[in-house]
Amino acid sequence: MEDDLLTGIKAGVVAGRLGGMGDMTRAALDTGVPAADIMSLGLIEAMSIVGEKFEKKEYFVPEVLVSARAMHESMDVLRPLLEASGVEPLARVTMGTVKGDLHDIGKDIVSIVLTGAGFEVQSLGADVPSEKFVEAAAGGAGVVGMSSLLTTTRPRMAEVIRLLEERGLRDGVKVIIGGAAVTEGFANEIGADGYGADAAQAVRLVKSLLGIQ
Amino acid sequence: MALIDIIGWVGKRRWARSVGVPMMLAARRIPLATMVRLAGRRICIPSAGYSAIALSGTSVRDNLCDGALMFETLAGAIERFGLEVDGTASDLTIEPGACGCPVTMPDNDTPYVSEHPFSTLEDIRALQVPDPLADPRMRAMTETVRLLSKRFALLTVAGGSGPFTLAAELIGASEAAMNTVMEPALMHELLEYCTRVCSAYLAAIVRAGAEVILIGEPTAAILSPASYKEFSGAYTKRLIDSIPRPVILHICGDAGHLLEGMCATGAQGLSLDAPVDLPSVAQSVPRDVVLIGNLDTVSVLLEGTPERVRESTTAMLESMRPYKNYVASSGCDLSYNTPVENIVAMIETVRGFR
Repeated sequence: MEDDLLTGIKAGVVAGRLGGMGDMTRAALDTGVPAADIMSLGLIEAMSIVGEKFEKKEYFVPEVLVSARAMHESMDVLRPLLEASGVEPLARVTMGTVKGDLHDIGKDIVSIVLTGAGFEVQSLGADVPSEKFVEAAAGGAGVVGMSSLLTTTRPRMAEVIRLLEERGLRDGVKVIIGGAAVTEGFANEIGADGYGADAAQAVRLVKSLLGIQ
Repeated sequence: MALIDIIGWVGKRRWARSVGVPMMLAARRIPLATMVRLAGRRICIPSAGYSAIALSGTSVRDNLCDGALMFETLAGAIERFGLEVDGTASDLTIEPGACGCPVTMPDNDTPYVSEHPFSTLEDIRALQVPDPLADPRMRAMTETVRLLSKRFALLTVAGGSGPFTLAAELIGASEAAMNTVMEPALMHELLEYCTRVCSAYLAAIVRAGAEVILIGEPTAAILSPASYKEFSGAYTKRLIDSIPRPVILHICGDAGHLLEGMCATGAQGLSLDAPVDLPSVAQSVPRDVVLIGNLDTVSVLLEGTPERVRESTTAMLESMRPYKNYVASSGCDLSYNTPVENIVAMIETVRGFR
């Protein structure tokens, strides 16, 4: 029964079944499945399958976004319980698109795939002032990820790194960048810790920067 | 001297318009692929509208709002770079702006839609198709096209958004993506509207004198091949069928998986971005469809040296040597900050390639 419910939650997220995920999650909790198990064996495993399907081009952006929404329906039920139990994620990653740039989707896909890999992702959204990234680092984010799709907005990334240095926060945080406007060369030039060309690369990058297998 | 050089030479001279204009009228009856094949050498379309603005010393914002100023800017670049094709700077915020989205226009940066105010069927059903003659920015663009085609007897390339890209601006890109799965009926109703908007606007561009229409459908890159056909390709085909000129369809990013669907739209030219490996997809593109691309706008043209641009351009041209239906271009619009010497290096390398 418990296994059935967990399998159902996982399958529901992979298939992006909206509307019933909250009830399924509550039913699983009622039968005694711990919130942390629903999180790791249900949601994270599901998002990891979604990430694989995206990499293999079986899923595209729309399918991934719908799966993520299904995951959030379940997460909304779990969040208060997880916070109360003090379960720690692998690490906290803060993601955002830099100031002046409203491209949301690429960064969202990276966030979703990172969630599937077991990271807690804080999304700052798009058009994010540099100061917000710095605040996230000060607040304990292990990784700050920035996206830019416009070559005119990418200098903001260098600005964030400079601000992190000025505040003495640079050594405590890994900075990664991505998006159509940036390259590996640009990442080196501005002193970022890494560049990811796609979501799968971003996950490998974060894991290797944090020394996670 | 190749035919395209003669066309370019005649087309830029005012006193030769009595020859150039009939030449362009004749060109309207020839399919794009035939024109490319007859050119005598590779043609280069650098997509340098924003670089032209940077060169002119005027602001992006002023150019996008003032058709006569944009014309002066582009005319300067056509002379400076010796172009054989005159194109406008692309601006995919014109249609969403005309439909009622707020558009932020920084002085010297690409404008963007800052809010996507429509979400429900009621919102969509209340939308009116904007009149291209009444909307100020649609009028500015058609004025630029009119002035370009009056001044130059060259192939004037101009255009606008594709239906899915416009839909994504109206309701937000993530919402549009999710609605292809969750609310397909709403998406189809929205896309019907968007197709009517695009069609009315592009008809005005054709009336202003454009010889070739460029449809930019960047947001469709996020769709699966099947969704592309349903939510972009089918509407793009109808749009193309309504346009009495050859159409080039551009999709940014990695659109290799959409190629078959793009070919089915009836576009005479497909413009692909740097992530697509052109030689490997070229075989699956019919020979009567022109393939356009795809020098990397960031790592090569923005960040590279002229030497690097020459090397990459030559490598691109060599790899596409077997394909007569190929036109050299940047993968996407050049950044405002692209060094002029890099643009010159690309154009000269293409021009000198045999």
